[in-house]
Amino acid sequence: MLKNTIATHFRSLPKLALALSLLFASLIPAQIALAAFEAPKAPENGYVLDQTGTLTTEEIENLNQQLDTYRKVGKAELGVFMTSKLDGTYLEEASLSTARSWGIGNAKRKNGVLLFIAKDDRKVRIEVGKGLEGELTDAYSGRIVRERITPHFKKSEYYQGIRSALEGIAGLLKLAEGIDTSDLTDENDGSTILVIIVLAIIAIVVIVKVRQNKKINSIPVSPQAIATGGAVGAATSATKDTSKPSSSSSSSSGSSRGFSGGGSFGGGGASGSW
Amino acid sequence: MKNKNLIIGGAVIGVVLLALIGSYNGLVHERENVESAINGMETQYQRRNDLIPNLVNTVKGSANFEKETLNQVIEARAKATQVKLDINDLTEENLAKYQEAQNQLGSSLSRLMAVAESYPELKSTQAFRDLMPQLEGTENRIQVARSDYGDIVKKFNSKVKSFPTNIFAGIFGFKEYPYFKADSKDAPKVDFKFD
Repeated sequence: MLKNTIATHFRSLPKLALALSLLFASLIPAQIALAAFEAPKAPENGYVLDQTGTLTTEEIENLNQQLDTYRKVGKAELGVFMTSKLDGTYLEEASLSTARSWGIGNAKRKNGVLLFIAKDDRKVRIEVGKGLEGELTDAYSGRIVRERITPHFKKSEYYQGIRSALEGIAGLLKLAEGIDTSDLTDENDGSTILVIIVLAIIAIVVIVKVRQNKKINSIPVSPQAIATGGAVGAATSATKDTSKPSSSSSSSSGSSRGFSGGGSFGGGGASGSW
Repeated sequence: MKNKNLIIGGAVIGVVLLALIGSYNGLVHERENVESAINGMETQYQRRNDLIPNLVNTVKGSANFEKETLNQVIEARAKATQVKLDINDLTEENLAKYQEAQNQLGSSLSRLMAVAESYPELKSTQAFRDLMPQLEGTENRIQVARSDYGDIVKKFNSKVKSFPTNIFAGIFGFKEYPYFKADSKDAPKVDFKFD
């Protein structure tokens, strides 16, 4: 049986190959026309992606550290992407699709900023999330491009240019001036409701069991239930703690680097070339 | 036996009702998305309109700037503000009219920018230098808002057309939304880049 099926597969293989190659042949031109530039995956555990190999690992680490502090401040989330060529895609299109697919910024605050550099095309853009358009206006973005980026890039000082731009943005948005998480309650709200629901379920279960057993002594409060209760308690206190700086606590989202997944961009920002 | 049939019948009706409610809610949700995309688009066009007086003043301040191009911009702006979009009556024709008025403003603006190119002292002023990225940014936002509108409308329209939502859409009177004409092809992009 097995041999037979394999044999038939092999016999039909040339046909299959022909069909597949025809299929691909019909697909390829469309793909070339469509995807000149494709947004890369977001950098893992960081905020900087350099496809050109221009920045050293140390420089990238420095930038990552800087951007991580900025993100923890909570006002803005900054990312840097450096590629070599856009292959005919408009800078604005490429930058927007990267910023959106990386999910830069908090979903509620829409506070992402992407510094997009096409090195060989000598084009640069600051892409500003919808929530920051009022502060980091196009005019200011343009100034940062003109005064902080292009002068450095003209001298091939890429790291310095990037750093200066990020500092300029941080200065404008006052990122270094303290932590503000006052309106970041959306996630907390969700978990609080969840906690209440879980507590309610536990309460109901306990009440039902009490009624069934009618004996206080035999309430089957399992160790698990206690554990859940304890964990819930811990979770509630952890939620409250996020209003403080919290570097060591807060499980996954706080300590690891990376974008929050908002990615709400509407084309704000400014472009330039050098 | 009778009871059993009743239960089955009830269950079927229940399932149909649920599907009906689900797809109605889905359609309403999608339509809200379309409406907010239209609003977003209008906001961006309005933003450009708001920017023009500033631009006109800056350019006027520059010595003997060519009057004709400037007047064309002012006129095109006046026309563009007259044509408004009505979400409840969004036909292909209305959208095309709106698009035409806005495109005229866009092209008169890019003409103005091209003329400004030959006024070096204007180009070097801080006011003009700050206006450039603002204009660029507005054009870019318009582009983004339009392509977002196109994407959302595409989603909505395909929902309205596909089975079984098309039945409910017909019952509740959901109609397809029109596309921008240039959205099918790649529209030539207004480019304000200098240097």
